[in-house]
Amino acid sequence: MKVLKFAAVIFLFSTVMFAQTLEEVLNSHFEATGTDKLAEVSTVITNGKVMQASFEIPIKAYNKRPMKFRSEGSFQGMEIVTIYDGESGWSKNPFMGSNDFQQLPQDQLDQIKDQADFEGMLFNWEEKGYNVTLDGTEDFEGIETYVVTLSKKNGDVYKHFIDTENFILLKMVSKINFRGVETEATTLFSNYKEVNGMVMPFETETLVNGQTAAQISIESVEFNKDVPDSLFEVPETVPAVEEDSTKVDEK
Amino acid sequence: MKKIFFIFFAAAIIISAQTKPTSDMFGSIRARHIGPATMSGRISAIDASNIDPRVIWVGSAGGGIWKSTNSGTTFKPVFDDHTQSIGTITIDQRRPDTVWVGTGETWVRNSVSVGDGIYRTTNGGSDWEHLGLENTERISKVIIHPENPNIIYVAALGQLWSANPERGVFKSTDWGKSWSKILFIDDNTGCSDLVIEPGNPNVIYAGMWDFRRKAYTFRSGGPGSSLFKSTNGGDSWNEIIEGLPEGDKGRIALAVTELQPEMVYALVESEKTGLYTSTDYGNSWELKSTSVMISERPFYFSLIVADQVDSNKIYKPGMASLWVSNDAGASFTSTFIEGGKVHSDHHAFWINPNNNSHLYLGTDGGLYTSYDKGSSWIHSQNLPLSQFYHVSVDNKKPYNVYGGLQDNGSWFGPSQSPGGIENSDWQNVGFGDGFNVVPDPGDENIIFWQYQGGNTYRFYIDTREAKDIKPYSDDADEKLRFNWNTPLVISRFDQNVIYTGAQYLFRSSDKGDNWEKISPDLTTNDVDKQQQENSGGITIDNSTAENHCTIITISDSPIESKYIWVGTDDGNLQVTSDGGETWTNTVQNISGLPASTWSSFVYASNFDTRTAYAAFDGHRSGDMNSYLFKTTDLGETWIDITDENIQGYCHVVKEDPVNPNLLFLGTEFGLYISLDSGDNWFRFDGNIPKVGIFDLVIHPTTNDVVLATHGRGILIIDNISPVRQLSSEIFENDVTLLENEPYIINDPQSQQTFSGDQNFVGGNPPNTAMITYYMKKRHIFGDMYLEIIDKDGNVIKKLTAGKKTGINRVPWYINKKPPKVKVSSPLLISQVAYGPSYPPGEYTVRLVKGKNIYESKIILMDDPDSRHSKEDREMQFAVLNKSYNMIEEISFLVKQVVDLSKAAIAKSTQVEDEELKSILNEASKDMDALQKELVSTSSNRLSGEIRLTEKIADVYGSLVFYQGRPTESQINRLNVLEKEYKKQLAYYESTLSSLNEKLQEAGIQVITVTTREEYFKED
Repeated sequence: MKVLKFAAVIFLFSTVMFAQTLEEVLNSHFEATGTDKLAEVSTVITNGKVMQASFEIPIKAYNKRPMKFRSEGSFQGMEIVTIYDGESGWSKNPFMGSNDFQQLPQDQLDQIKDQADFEGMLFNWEEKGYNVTLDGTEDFEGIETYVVTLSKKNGDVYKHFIDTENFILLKMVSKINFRGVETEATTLFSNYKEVNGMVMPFETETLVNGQTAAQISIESVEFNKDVPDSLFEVPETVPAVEEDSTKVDEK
Repeated sequence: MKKIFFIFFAAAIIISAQTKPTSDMFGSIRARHIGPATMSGRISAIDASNIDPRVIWVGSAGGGIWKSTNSGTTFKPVFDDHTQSIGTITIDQRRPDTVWVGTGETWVRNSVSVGDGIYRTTNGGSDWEHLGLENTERISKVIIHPENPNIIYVAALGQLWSANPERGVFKSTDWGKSWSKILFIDDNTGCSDLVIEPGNPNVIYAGMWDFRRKAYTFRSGGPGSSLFKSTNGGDSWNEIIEGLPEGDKGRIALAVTELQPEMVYALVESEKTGLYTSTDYGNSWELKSTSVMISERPFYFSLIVADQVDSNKIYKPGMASLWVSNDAGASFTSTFIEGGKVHSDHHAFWINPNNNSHLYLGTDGGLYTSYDKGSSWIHSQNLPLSQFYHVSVDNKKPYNVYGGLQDNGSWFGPSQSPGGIENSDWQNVGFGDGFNVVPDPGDENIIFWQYQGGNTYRFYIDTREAKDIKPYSDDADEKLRFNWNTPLVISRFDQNVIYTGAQYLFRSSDKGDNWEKISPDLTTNDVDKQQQENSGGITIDNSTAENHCTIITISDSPIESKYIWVGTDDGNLQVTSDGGETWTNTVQNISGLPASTWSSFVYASNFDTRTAYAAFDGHRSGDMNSYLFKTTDLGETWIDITDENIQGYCHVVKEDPVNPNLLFLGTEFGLYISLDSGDNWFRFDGNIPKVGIFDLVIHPTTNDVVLATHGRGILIIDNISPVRQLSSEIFENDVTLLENEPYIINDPQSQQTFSGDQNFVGGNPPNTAMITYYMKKRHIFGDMYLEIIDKDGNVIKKLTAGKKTGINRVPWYINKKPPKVKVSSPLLISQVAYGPSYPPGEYTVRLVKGKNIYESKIILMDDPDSRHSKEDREMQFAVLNKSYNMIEEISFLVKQVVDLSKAAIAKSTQVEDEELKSILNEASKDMDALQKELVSTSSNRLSGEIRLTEKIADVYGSLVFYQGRPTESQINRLNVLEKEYKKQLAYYESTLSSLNEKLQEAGIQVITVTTREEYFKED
């Protein structure tokens, strides 16, 4: 009898599950991750490290409303810094040949914007000008997931895999046009923890062609600390970026 | 020893019904692809974007679809989850991210694979939708209506090996949702080519082909073959044969041009195969040419392509050359003028419609590009489509992989190579179609190789001589029947013995100089199946590809020399237990196996003389089922060991040499693994496409599984020992740490190449310690990480844990952190990028998952085969770590010097006394100067600033990449630099203490600098 009841519950649950609309899936997802709590948050400071093969780079990221972002990494005393003030962005990366700040080209700026977006791209997607569809369910390592596809106007596509039980984002497959080249990557999210009522992944792993390209491990997250605007200000003596650095000189 | 394993595993692996493992159990174990791509493989279809010809889609015979967006500089596979046999590719030219693919190659040679209908992508190949026509098996053409893209025409050849009604011409008016058959002749006749009239898409021409292949014969042509035309979008058809030859016709190819829509070309196979042209929309035909250039092997090369710029130019891709006519088919000549180093067999061709100098040519040896109308060609050596029949390995370190390829000879190459396995790492040893390529276990200089029909050679690597060693009959009139793919195996019992088989089994103990016939005719010797002189249909085609009533597989017991199994292509499965004196055909003891089914592979057990595994392959009679059986009583009884998870007809089965319950099965659609002697099977899909696995070998020392794919080259699954450990108990537990393989600390290797991106580079095995564990479910919530703990209990490393369901393999890069420095110069950062290895020994692995802690061990060990003695290694370790410490100490000193300089300046503003002020200022300047002595402060890599840190780092950077004894020069250099460091340290210390004395005298608080503890605390 007990078994029967249990089976009936499962049956009901799965019927309900299949009836889910995009709005319901997203609302459940936002509820599960405590997105509403983010409304009270004006700044976030994140500490962690990025790992690429045997290399480990400590990183620190600052988010400030409305759309400011700064990340700092260092390796052997050399600093890699990216800044976004809500409109423009700059970076310096001595490992990529720039010891001084230079303005970010548009495609990189687009990616920084996503990182500066407090609630993530799925939240209020209509206002942000994205298109989002619910494309059924898919198995991910034995876990059933909703496939929520977000497309941007520039053609970039992000497939979100949200598990049907906990409504947590487990995987994202992105197909991005990067300087004219179509690039595909998979990001896996894990080590979810609750911080101030919000559920956040403390580890992400990015795979390209099925191989781990980078992992990010978060050590601490602090909310509503004082983060001065100066951290996002335009550094002086920034040379203007060329319109399209890949463009061939036609002269 | 083996027995103990047997008992252990038999007890351990009984999969309970509750756990229900899936293919997810293999977790992060993945195959790596090592190519080769130097010879590539058969291309069956090409299309390119008309407006952007840099976008190329290449369909292959057995390696799926590859897309390039950069004119072929790089390619990516985009069809790995589906059948790898491609018939045709059609880009919707008005929206080029929409592409239609008809699967199933139409170049129907003996070794051709099978398709399963039509697919469409609308996002450039990321996702595919299967749109039916499953049973057509082969699709030769997809045409999109030029005005209404919802209308699609499909030419389906249909099944090659048996009759079926799903063939002919199909049409969809709803973008592929539904199909109607608009032209059908009979169950044996398919559509070999389809074209529509340029500018008038209601007019369709269809070449219909009556054909059939069997295991022992081929027929091209018959009463069903003919040419048809519809003028109403396929609603009705008329036969258009006025002027075409009388009698049965064979395969027909068609071409039209926009420039002259009234002109139609037809290459028609008949008793006198020729090119016919019509200048009245196909209503009547005129013979233009019967040149051998255009008429050879029509079943395989029936392709003509008209130039869309020059109305008189028509190409005939085929054998020997790319032929072209510049007079509308009256005469043909080769396009090769300046070059022509192109594989001889051509099956796909694309002409840039806006620039007819620009051509893409698909051959049996890959893709070529010409920019001069075919005069010279660039070969794409980045398409690893090699079609292996067999694979073998040697015991070298690293081991080599050997194998023979369809139409691309015999090769061997390394399983790893500095910087990755490049095309140039592979060596060719034999020509023709390649099959078994086997290193002689007794002589490193000898390789045995074969070409089609049993031709067998003994090859000497040093001189590249090849001795023909195939056996002959003792009877002048008797013909030995060798299969296209004749077996050649080294005995597993006695490595000095080799076996090969015709209708008889042959054994040689002297590397092929003498062969002993050790069996009677083991086949059915069915004369009706030995009429290959008449094979081919209208055009006789007897290339040994249809040789039949032959031995195809041989396996001797590694336990007892007298036990030998033999399988034949006509369905016999014979065994001897007395070394060939007597033979028993055991196939009649197999129930559920149709008669005469090709005995594709037999494998004598590693553990028991009476146990064997047998795979059968009925696809050559249209039976696509998977047949796999096991006997434990020398063939008296057989049990079916397949399950519903297996897809595809079976090519090879192997029993693991360590775990007798672990079986590997290669089918036409990938690799399958059983942990319980065949009760349950799981597809292993870790980076393995749905490609035909024709052979596999388990390396005896590395435990790698090496796969011969027929379309994607060699794949290697590195070290399958974690799979051996899987058991029902492990499936039940949340987490199980598996036994970690000891990691042999390798000598680092390097190689410099800047060969561009147009070459395939195969992956190397992971060169680092691997921590292995099994997880029942993916980890999502809470902490999970790994710690490495040394013998003193110190946590020396924290690692990100793998979170996957199934087996996780986490690399532990066994280097300490690089020496801590504060770098200005890019030169220094490259010198100190890596830390020294941790020393050999046993380490504890601790896995923390939420509140649970799991522990195991891992051993790091020196390479016993390394040229370096233990003493030399210890010296390297000591000297390297000395230089490491020196760099860190000097870096700490720099920090203190900078602190002191800043502090002195700061104090100088606080003091009144002018002399003291001046002393402080001078001290600050001294420290600034000292800093510049200690480390380069230039951010310019080529500044030439080589300071004390850079000098030490120079030695460090050399030591860290060499595991052996340091040079005396290096040791002396470090001693000299150490003295210099101590001198500078003393100078700094005296400056600090002297300043502080003076400050103290003046009653001012002394200067403090960063302490050692502060400096070296964790970042």
